[in-house]
Amino acid sequence: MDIAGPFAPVLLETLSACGAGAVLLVDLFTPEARKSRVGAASLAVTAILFLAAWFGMEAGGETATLFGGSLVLDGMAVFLKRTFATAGLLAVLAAIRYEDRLPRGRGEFHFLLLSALTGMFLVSSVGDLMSMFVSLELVTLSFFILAAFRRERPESVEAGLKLLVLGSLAAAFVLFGTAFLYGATGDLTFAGLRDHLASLRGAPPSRDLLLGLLFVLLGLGFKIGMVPMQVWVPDVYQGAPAPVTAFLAVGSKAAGFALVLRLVTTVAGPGTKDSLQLLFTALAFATLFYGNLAAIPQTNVKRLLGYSSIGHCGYLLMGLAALGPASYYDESAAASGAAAILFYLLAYALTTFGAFLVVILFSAATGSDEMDDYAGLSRRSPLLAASLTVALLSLAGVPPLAGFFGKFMLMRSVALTGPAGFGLLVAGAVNVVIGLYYYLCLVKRMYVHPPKDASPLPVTGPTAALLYALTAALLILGIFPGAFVTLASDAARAAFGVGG
Amino acid sequence: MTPLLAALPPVTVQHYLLLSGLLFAVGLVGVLFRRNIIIVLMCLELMLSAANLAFVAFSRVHGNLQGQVMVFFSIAVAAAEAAVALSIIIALYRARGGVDVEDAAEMKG
Repeated sequence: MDIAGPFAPVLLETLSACGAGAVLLVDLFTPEARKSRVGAASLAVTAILFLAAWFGMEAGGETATLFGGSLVLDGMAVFLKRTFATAGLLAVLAAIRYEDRLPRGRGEFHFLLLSALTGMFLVSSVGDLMSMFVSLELVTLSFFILAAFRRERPESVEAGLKLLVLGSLAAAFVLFGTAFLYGATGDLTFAGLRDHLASLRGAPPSRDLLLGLLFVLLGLGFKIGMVPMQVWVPDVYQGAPAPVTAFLAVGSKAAGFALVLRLVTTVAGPGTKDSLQLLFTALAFATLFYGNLAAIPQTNVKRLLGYSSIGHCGYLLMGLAALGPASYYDESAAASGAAAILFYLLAYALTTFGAFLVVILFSAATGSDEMDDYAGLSRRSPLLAASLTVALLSLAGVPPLAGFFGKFMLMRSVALTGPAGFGLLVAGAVNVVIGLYYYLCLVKRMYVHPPKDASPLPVTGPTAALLYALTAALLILGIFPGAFVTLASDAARAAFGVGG
Repeated sequence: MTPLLAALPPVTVQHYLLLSGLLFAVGLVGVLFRRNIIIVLMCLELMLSAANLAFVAFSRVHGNLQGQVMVFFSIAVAAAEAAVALSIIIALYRARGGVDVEDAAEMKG
């Protein structure tokens, strides 16, 4: 069902921007004693966005554009917007369980979550480099403030500052690269870039264009936590408030991959795919091993999830490496790589929130994020331990959970590229084993080690329902992935111009 | 025109791009090696300005205004970024009593 007609490309953006303003107004007119209404208002906004994204937008419809091609709504944009709407709803649900610990500024906290979400919706449908830069900065600036939000805690300020310096550095790289892409083509739209490359007829692109492309990819590499732009990830994940960390893990990664996918589908062609494939294969190798090996010695759960998220960026890069070498170029392999990335991002969003919700509830009850304090959690709260275990196994890629099917799709797309992909395939398999090891170390603490403090951790009704729902979602997405895989494949095939 | 200026070669787009590249490199080196965070912030602004200069130069080459419009957006974004950055730096000063890189290097591993 299409409820917005010609304005479908800005439906969610308008709703969430207005919703963010409404949340601030509710905050202004609510007395201090009833501040929980602010969270309720924010939840209502994201619930509307969730419903509008999943049931109010046409997935397989015609590609719609708005503002002279600045915003594009195609299958990929719809899929990404649905992922972001889901992540936004879960972020607000997590924030509501956290906000009692905020000394001030509940309204601003929810406002910033919604403004970051607005930026993510815009990111999913950018059609030119100008809207790309501006919407990316909307996401990034909101996260700067959110990460430093608990300014009475030095580690939160430190996380905000690190995100700020490296995020602004990445923005400068993106902007500088954009300038050179503009210089090479004389046009800021992706369509202009595609036309320019088509007009070369297989000749190598100009140096300006390659330089610009490299700078933009490096800048976007920061958002997704790709080696060598990953240094901020563990510190920010550890220091930022837990709901922000979860939203940042999902939102920043998905927003970065949305833009990388847009750019790669635009520029991948006979003249560039060889170098792009080589570049992404090397980056996937480095990112996979860095993230997963550095996760092993960690003792803080949020930091562990930070390193593991670098590892997941490595898996996602495998999907980009599936572009295929020139001798074996297969558009359907490239499209299956893109489809795998889209599906993986959705699965990753659900899984990450499943894990972080437990981290939030645990640290609310005990004030600790240390792995040693998770000892004996199965005896203190079986539900928390079981939910975290399912989420961790899904992150590791154990069947029949959502994470398994995402990894399966990524590896399949790499295998489709032929002999060139075998090395990467082996690296991916080795890293699944490494990942399983450190995730199971935490599971072992929860189930085998005796608790230091045996007092039970009660989980109340709505929170327990949320935990059950997330666990069920992980199982459903893993056992019956068909409908979602079809959505992702259609979106990716349209983006790569592969018929039916 | 004075004889000295007349003797100089004409300024071409290459000169603008060279200056832009230099500014970007100076900014990058400053971000990586300076210890005072205020100076790091200034270097970041320098990098954005370098990109703006490249946009304007390319806009002149192509004879269209898209590059100049982009610069307006980038200036607005840079201003917002500076406001957020300064407030975070103030929060850091209150939390740790200094604004050097060492004051924000507790978390490691």
